[in-house]
Amino acid sequence: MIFINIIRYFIGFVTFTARGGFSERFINLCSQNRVVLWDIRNKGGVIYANTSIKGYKRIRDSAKRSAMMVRLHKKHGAPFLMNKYRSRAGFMVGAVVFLMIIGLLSTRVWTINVEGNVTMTDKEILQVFEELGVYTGAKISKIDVTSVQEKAKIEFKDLSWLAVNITGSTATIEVREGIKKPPIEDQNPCNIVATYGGQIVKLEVYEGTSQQELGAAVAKGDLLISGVVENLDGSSELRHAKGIVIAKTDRNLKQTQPKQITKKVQIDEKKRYRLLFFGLDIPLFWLSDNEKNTEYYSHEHRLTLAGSILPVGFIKEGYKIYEEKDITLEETNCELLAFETFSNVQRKKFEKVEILGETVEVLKDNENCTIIGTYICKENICTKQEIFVE
Amino acid sequence: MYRKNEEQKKSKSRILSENLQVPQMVNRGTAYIELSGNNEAIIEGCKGVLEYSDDAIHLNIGKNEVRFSGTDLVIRTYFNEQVIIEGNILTIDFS
Repeated sequence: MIFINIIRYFIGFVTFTARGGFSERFINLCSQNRVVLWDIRNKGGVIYANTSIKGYKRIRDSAKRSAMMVRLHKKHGAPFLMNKYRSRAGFMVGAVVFLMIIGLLSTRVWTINVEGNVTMTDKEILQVFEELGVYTGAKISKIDVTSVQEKAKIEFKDLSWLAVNITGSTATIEVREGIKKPPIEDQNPCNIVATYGGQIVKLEVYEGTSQQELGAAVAKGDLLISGVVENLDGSSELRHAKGIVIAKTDRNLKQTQPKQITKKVQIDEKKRYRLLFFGLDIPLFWLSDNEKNTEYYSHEHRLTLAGSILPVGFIKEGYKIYEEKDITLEETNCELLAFETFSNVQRKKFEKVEILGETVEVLKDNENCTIIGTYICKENICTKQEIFVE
Repeated sequence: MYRKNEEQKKSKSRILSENLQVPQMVNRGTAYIELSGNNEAIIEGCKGVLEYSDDAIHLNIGKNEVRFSGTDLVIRTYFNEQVIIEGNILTIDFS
């Protein structure tokens, strides 16, 4: 019913009234003359009915023969609306052009979503798909989904599953990363020696022969677990020694920060904008890079509508121009900088080490600020040393 | 003679429809009325409107006449011997 009403609206129809005369005869004559009437109502002797524009033009004969007086009551539909705004041709042309543009752009990919990736970035995945023909602004009819999926699987060896779905103007790339095979452990004969000197607090031997005891003091390079195993019958064989040897070690860390530093100071910035439109990248201004000591940056901004990212946006890019200046730090700033660097280095160096105790000393002079850290650590001091067999 | 042939034709078509168990509506000249509750009636084979008011619609359906009585009766569509009546239909009389 709604569909019929929409069609009637686009074709246009009128509501008319008919009074006096013989209403039943009038309705019969309209039917005989192939005039379609609908929503015929009789209100107080007056007939209200709807008919098409052509039907209304043919109704006069039926009205005359049934002595009915017909009057136009109301006009409905697009033809009357267009006639009303016929002097506003630009509006109609604009509306038509708008619909054509929307229709044309709907045949393109507007948004590409990547789902299911954990270690791989969206950018990596989109870059490969761009080469395969799936990118913002690509024509949907030209994308062969099956072929794209097959080629992408060859490119992404680490993925266990991949699918491309295009719904409307949105392309969704779903991936599932495969579980990486664990590396095959080296089974060549080897010994385990100490990486640092210290006192052994934990000793677990899984393979090989232990050469040290719990509580023993070892130096760097000392043999901890031997790969040579003696059998009960007196013979010996070479094995791949395995084990855990935890020892208390003394470690040091020294970090020197000079007061005189060369710092990059920004003196100027050049920027421009690039318009993004369905995959097209249109630079709005010229940008040259003739300067030395520059740092390039680029930020992409896309318009969004109801949570969906549109294929329209802009890129702000530019160069920050720096000048190197020699700066003398104040004592406080120098110390702060030294501590900052010292903390970063300490974090990286002792990542897998348990620190039991530490002492930090700060030494200052006219030129530098030095931080010295002394640590008592608990760490695994095992390292493999291959046994060469001739 | 002509009347006898017409009667023979009618009876043959009726016999045929009964034996084949085909609904009577397939026969020519028979009006078809479909009721949807008491709110809508679809009539096919309507030859003309005899009376039309808010509480009664009287139609000529060929051999017979049918009168729909009720309240708020409206002819939703009338074209090419097909009529759709909507409203609160209380009685349907054949004559």
